[in-house]
Amino acid sequence: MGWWWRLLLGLWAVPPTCTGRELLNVCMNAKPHKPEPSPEAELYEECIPWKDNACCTASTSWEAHLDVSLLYNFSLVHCGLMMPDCQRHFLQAICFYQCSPNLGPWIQKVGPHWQAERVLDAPLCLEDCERWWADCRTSHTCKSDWLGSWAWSRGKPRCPERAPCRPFPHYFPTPADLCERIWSGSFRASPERRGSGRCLQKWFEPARGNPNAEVARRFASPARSWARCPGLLAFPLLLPLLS
Amino acid sequence: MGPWGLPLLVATLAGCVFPARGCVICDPKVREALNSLEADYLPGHLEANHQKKVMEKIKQAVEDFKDLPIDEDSYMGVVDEATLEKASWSLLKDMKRITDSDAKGELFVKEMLWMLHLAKNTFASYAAQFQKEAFCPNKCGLMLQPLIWCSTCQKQVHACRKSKNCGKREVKVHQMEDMILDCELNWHKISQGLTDYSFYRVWKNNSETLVSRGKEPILTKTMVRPKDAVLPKRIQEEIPSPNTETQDETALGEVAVDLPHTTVEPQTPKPEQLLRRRLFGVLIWGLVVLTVCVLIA
Repeated sequence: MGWWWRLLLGLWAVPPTCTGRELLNVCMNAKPHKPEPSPEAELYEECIPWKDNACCTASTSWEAHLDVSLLYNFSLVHCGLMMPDCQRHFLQAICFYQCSPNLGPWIQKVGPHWQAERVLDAPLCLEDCERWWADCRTSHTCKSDWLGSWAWSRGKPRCPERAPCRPFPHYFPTPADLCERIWSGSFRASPERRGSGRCLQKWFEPARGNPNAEVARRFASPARSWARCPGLLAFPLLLPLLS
Repeated sequence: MGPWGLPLLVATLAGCVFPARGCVICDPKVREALNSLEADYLPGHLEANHQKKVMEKIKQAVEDFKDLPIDEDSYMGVVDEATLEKASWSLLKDMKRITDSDAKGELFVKEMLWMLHLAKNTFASYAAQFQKEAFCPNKCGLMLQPLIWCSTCQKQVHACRKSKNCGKREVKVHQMEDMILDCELNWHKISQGLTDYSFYRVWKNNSETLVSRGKEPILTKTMVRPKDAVLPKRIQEEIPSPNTETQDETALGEVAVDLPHTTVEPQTPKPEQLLRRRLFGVLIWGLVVLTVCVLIA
């Protein structure tokens, strides 16, 4: 077979490999996310902004508001009741993670066989992290990473033995620490501001529409896809030599 | 300075003096009593060089009231107005007992600190009672409860969320009698911001019709008839199920009949050269189209 045949066949392998999974308007492959986003008329409270297109069901949106999260196995009341303003940020963040169809560019495969997925390094806007941190300053916690290492007792996750309850700033000295550490790197504290189109809002006014769709489109651009696979682009050029 | 100036100033100064709240400190009467102790009682009952240190110990002991283990059965960092009132009253009564006894010097210090130690236990028991009996008393649904956060003395509304399912109540009445539907639960009256009661008729196809909305928790339907009820299922006569094997065979037969015949006409073999050229063209065009689609997406 001529060398040009090999080159041609090799080029066919590049586009599907480089584009990978669909990045826009998708739900992650993890319970209890829906397989794909769709309208949900009965979403609860802080999850309402996503009612037009959501990866969460009405039932999930209710569970997202419980003090002991059935979704993540952590408790919002492990150091007593949070101040309502602080709690609201957590509910918004949980709804964002559960319901948003715009997290595709940050979905990563995890687990021993890469069967489940999670979000990593989703860039939250500067104001989101700062406000979250400010409103939680007078609430208490005992850990900086809430996604593991809880001491389970009487069916609930509790503070480990040598982890005292302290005001939030003790475990999260800065807003960036809060955003980036609390859920093991799911979020990244972006220096960009709301409206820049380069950062995600963990919540938005329903009447103003979802600003994150545009952000996801920007981060999912083909230029970024192609930039990720220069090695694969070189592969077909080497094929003719294999004869 | 207006009529509210002095109390506001005292409250502000108290806020500075007691930065870490001890729950009972949230009651202005307690702060006033401690200020009065420092300003009016100690100067005549304790040596001047001990007053500052003793007062710091007393304040610290009161602030330590909030340092209780966090547990959903005993203390979650919050109390309601009634519990705070009860705990404050108890503390003030004990403080007054000591000041009325005119205790001085070391005796005063020992009595005061021991009293505060016991008062903390009393506060803990009041907090546990509140936690078990009055905190989020709803067993279902959403209840809004005003609470006081001990760490900041802020009074805010907490959303008590439990299971969405509040269960069903079966109401049986005779035909032509009045049917009374009472939807009030025991925690409704103490819920902050109670809105309206809405009664819906749910039909067999699960659609809903709003029947009534208002402040009253009770809906009365007079002289009910069978059409007002959800009827029990009719008793079904047993009907022999169809012979599935026969059905399948029939279906297979139909499919067999409906299947279009496909015939493959023998094609004149094309020269190898022509086939290769066509394949080459298809691959090139396909690659171009695919790349354009990816870039546009």
